[in-house]
Amino acid sequence: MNYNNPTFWLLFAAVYAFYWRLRHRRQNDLLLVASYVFYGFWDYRFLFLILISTIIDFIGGLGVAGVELPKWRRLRLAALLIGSALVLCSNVRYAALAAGLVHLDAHAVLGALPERLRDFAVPLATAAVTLAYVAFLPWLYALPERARRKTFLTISMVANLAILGFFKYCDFFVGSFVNLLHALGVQVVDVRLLGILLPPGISFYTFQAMSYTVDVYRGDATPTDDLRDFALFVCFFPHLVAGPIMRASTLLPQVVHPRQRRPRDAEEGLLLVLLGLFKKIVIADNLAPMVNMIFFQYGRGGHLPTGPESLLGLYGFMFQVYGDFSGYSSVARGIAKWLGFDLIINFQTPYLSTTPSEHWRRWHISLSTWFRDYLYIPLGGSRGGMAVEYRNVIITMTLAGLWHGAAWTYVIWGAYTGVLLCISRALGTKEVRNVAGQRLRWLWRVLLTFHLTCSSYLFFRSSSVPAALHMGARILTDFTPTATAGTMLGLLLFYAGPLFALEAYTEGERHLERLFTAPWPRQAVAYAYCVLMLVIFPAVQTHEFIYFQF
Amino acid sequence: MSSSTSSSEAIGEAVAAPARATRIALVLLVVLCGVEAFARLELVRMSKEFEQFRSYPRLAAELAHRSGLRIALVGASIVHEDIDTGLLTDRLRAATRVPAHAESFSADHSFVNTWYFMLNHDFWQPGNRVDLVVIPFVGPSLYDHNEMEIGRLARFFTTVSDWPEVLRTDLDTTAERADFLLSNFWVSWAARDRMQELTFTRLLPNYKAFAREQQNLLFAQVFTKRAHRARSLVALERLLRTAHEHATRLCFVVFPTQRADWNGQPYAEARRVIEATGTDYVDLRDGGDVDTSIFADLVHMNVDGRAIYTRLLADALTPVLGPGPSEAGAAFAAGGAGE
Repeated sequence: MNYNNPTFWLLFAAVYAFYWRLRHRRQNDLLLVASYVFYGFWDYRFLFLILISTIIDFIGGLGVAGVELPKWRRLRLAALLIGSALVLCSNVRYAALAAGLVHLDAHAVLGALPERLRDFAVPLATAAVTLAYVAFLPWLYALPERARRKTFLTISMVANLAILGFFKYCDFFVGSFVNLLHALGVQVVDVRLLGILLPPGISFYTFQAMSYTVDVYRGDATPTDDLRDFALFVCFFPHLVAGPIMRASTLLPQVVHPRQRRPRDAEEGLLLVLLGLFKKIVIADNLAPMVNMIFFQYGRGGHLPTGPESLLGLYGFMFQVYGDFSGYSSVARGIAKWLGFDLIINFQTPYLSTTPSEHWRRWHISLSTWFRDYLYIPLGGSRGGMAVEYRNVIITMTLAGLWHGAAWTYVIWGAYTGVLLCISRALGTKEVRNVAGQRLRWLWRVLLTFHLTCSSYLFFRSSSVPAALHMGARILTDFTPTATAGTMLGLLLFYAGPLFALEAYTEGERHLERLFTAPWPRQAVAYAYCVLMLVIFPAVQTHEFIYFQF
Repeated sequence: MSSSTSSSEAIGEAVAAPARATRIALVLLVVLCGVEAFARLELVRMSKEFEQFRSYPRLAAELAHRSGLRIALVGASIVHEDIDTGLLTDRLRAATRVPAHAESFSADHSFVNTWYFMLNHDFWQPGNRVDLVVIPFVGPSLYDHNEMEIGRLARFFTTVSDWPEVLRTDLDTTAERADFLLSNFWVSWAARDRMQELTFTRLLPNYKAFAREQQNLLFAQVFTKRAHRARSLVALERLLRTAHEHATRLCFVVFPTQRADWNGQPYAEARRVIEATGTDYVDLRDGGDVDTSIFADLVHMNVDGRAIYTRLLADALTPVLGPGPSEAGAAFAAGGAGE
């Protein structure tokens, strides 16, 4: 269920109708239920994964902080997990069960229940692991402090990475390994991929849950002993499937403490939601067919687009991915504001950056800082000389590429981005500010950085590495102007131009008050433009948010 | 001093905010009403397709009141792109020695759901009976879950009495249902794709050619995605059942395209359901490679292809123009899917 789907807004309206009438605790309960309903819309079985992640990190955070859960609470958590596995993962055909109950048909009811031992595989495995862990916990609690903290942290990291690794990367690594064996002449007989369904947003919530335990370990966050609060921290629906990835130190206090209705939140929330929907529905979804058309031709072979057409297809993708992802973040922030929460700004006009490093400080800020704080700095960061620093940058960016998707194109995109960052650092490029006296220099650097970023996104979007290289070569060697390229440029300017100008004016979402404090006719023009574009120029076809797959 | 200043500013802001919001809301309302007025008063007149849709009830009535063979061609763009009605009637007249009249009732990029409501709207009305309704189709148009143009369905082919049926059978998602309901009240919303087209054809000289090229390239992906979601035929079964209830004679005709995946598809389930009702089913695809020189694009034919396939269609329809609906059809109308 997406923000561009009316069902979401119906659910949200139902939540909001009651939300501010409730006391703080009940508000949290309502948000927790709504979040699970929201996520369960994709596939209710995915809820089990989010619950596992939640419970592991809940116990882990408390364990790291030296808070021992009493036996009855441990047993209750075990019962919750095993019960959830039974309800969610034992192959009950709920539609048939409901129909059987409605018609009082015992045969239909029995037919809807699990019947083979295989149906209970997940609940049985869950019961075995959970009971072992519960039995093991007193021993872990009794460890010396340093060992206990490290053990709980390790369990949290391993469990989260195992979930992520299995659901996201299992087929990729198995497939790549088999391909490697084939390339080496080793014939592997009948290796079948598992065809695992990727749970939406798994990379986001596992990273968020994992960072909680790390933050508690580092002393950057205080753990909560209320499971419902922690569960809401993990699955808070406005940002659940595509971020921003929130830190415990920022979001958890907002969950735990009563929230206030602030005077400007309603208006700011409305503007953010409007801008977010605009970026997604008008920009990203409308540019998608044009982008698909160009990249599709490189994927299938045959007649190829000209260089200018390919370049505009690539530009189109840059604005599509930005509109898509920053649109989601804006809507998430807007909705959160209506509910009294503050989520961090995730994008800050990244295409106006003047160095690759600056781009990554302004693009997907919550993920960039996550990788910086939990991977780059622990690897040694810039300590230990240039060689170590460059190694760390390339490792971090390559893993960030892999985080985006289980494909070699993402890995190469990440590594290439890392190399660009290293070159930029080696050359000692400094950021240029857009101030009088150096505007031309600023513009040149913005264009250069944008095109370097574009070159990396060739790999990100292409169906294969050869297709990306082919397209890159075409852009650099073919300059035939065509009518198609002219139309593409016109569409790009029509859809993305005005919003880009508005974002430059408000510096992304950083200075939205410039719009609020502008004279009312100017505000009216901005609102009318956004609403009119949303009514008259939404894409004919809606598309899933690109970042849901990550 | 400063504290009193800031509190009075705060009060001033608090007073100003609702007034500002009201003014902005009023501007928005005026703009939206202006666009709606344009859509209702001008756009329908400017759009050839909308004018055409509005003429269908009149054309259907005129066709029904003619003497001789009365043939309605109902379907998507191939109705007007692949069939020459003049040539068709000439050839049928020569073959049957009866005066023949044919009229096209088409809606670009439409599917079986829309055709049902077109028939309901234009032919299943008292006095609008014709001798044969020919439904030419390509690809998985007879299957459920195709991406419909909902605004057009809402504004031109359905009335309030159709709403329960549309919401239950034809629309899959809440988004589609909301779109349909909105389209019934709000012409700007229903006709947004036409407004987009109008804007871009004026702003960008090459837009039409670009849009067609883009559509051709992306057709395969979109259609395959939707068609593979489910292979149910609920809308087709409804159309067949209602046609029998109204004693309307139907003939489904599959046309070839350059789409290899469509040409290779036997449409076996659709054919079984159609033939189980005693309805005629003609396959004009030769099953092998098609001559690409007769196509204007991936789906539609050029002038030569049009002449060739109109003749083939006339030849195929000649034996069809015999006795009325069969016993099997009556059984289907009474009992459902014709199993």
